Amino acid sequence: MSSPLLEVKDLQVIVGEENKVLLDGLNLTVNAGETHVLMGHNGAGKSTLMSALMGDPRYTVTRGQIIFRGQDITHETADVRARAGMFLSFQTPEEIPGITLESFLRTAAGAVTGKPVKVMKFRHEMAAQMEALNMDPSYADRYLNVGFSGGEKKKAEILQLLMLKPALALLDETDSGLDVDAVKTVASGIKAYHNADNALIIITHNAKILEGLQVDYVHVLDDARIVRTGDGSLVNEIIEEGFTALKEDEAK
Amino acid sequence: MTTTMNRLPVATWNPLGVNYAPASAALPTVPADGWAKAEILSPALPAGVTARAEADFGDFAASGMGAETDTWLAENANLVNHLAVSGTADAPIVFENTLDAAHPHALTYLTIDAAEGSSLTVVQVVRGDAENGVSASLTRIRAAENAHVTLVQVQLLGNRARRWNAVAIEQGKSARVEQVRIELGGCVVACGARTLLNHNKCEYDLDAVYFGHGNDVLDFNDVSVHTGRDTLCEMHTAGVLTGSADKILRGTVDFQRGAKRGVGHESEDVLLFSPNARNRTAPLILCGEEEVEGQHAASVGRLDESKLYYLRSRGLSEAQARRLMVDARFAPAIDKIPLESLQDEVRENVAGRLNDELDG
Repeated sequence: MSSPLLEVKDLQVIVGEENKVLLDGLNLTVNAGETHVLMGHNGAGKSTLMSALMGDPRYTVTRGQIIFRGQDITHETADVRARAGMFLSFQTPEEIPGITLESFLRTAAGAVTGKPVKVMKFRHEMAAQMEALNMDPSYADRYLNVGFSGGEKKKAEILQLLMLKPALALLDETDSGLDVDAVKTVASGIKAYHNADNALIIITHNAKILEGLQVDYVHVLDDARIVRTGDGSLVNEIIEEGFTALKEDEAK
Repeated sequence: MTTTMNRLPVATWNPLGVNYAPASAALPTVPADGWAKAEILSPALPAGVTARAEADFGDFAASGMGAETDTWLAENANLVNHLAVSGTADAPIVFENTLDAAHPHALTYLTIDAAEGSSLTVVQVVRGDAENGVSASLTRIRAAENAHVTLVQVQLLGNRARRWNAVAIEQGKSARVEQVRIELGGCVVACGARTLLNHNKCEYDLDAVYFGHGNDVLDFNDVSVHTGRDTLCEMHTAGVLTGSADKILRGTVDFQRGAKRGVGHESEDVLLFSPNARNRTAPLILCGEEEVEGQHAASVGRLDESKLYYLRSRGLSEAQARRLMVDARFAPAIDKIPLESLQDEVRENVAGRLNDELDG
């Protein structure tokens, strides 16, 4: 059996001057081809885990390891992780005035592949992906996320996912703030991205975005660690009964 | 020479130190043996443009640097060009200077007399470097009714030369003058542009960028004086300060009596890459007329860490991310350079300076 795509071992993460512990003793293994879902109440540490995996400088790893594609990236910067094949779809994507979406994506594509981008081929592919995501083509020439609606920002994140083709996609509440149709569009984009060579870790409170995906594992975070792991059926169980009922069941 | 240049049109509290340029930006002393001979500038002139031996700009409006400075610049110029344009010039006129040991002084005096309905683009480029190098420039533009003049100034000097750049503009009815001012090098940079919008519906547009590093002194004074009706000015500046660079920018929109429905917008966006860099921004809007719209905005700060992280999460190194952010700020000015190769040269020059700062 090939080695895992991602291995998180005994991860402890702190933040701020008070060194508040947000994750403690967290373990997670993700293989290529898998889809993992992270669930948990607000403040459980889901987004912190995503940020720590991506290398957000606000968070400090004080114990444990992050092994990605066989490489210890625990203390690498975000750009090193991105070039190694990791991608985070931000819950609140940044607005960057002065840089068009296309220009940014071409720069990013060149950075992650380390190769010059063939402009015409890139534009053609980008136009096709934008059409699939029901994005107006004019967005390619607009400044990155500036004046985009919440839904368009999330679609722009998925567009980046589709164009950059990472080995591991971290989707942090990509469905939040989207209307029903937009969730379907984004879900189809995620489905189009996913294949046997890559993996997904998805934070969601909504099963809609998982439609069409085979969820392999659901992890429930609480008290800075994963407290339960189950198969895809756990998503609906939590949505229907909530985390409190789950904890009570665990207590019994 | 001791003179006060780049005066704020209405003085403010003196201890702020922004009422006029500091002594360190004073005009250079004339060398005992006079200014070194400059390289002759004789660019190709497109149809519709003629070079004249003399020009009647004797009683012309002052630049932003002030009349005294203008007089000094005109009298000391070792490169003089007077252009007259009628009709539409189909290609930009490009003046290029390079400072070096043999030619350390380039003091240019350029006048542009744009006749009614005419159109012209002039590009001034100065490169190179020299010990005690001097690049000084006075440009006077008379834009008659419906004339359209674009002045693109690109300064790519090294860090030993000093630079003075004065621009004075008079505009006729419905005339439009666009100025692009890119000042990337020089250990002393003092610039002042001033336009008189004293006829109806005339417009002035300034897109300026600067880059200060080391112990550079940068001093700017841009003034738009509105007396005609329905006039418009857009003055927007973006800059980067590193090291211990010290910069003052004064931007004034002066709505005088008669400037009904005048509109003036000014803004500055400064990126500080060093805690030792000093930025002072003095926006001023004077209203002597009702029914006008004046706005100013200033943004001063470090590179946003959240934006930097976002860019790096897409694979860009810190240097690439910084360059992208600076490119984004400088794009409105650089995109207006009519020569693609010069656009690339400016972008590379900025990138080189950023890399030096990161390495440094």
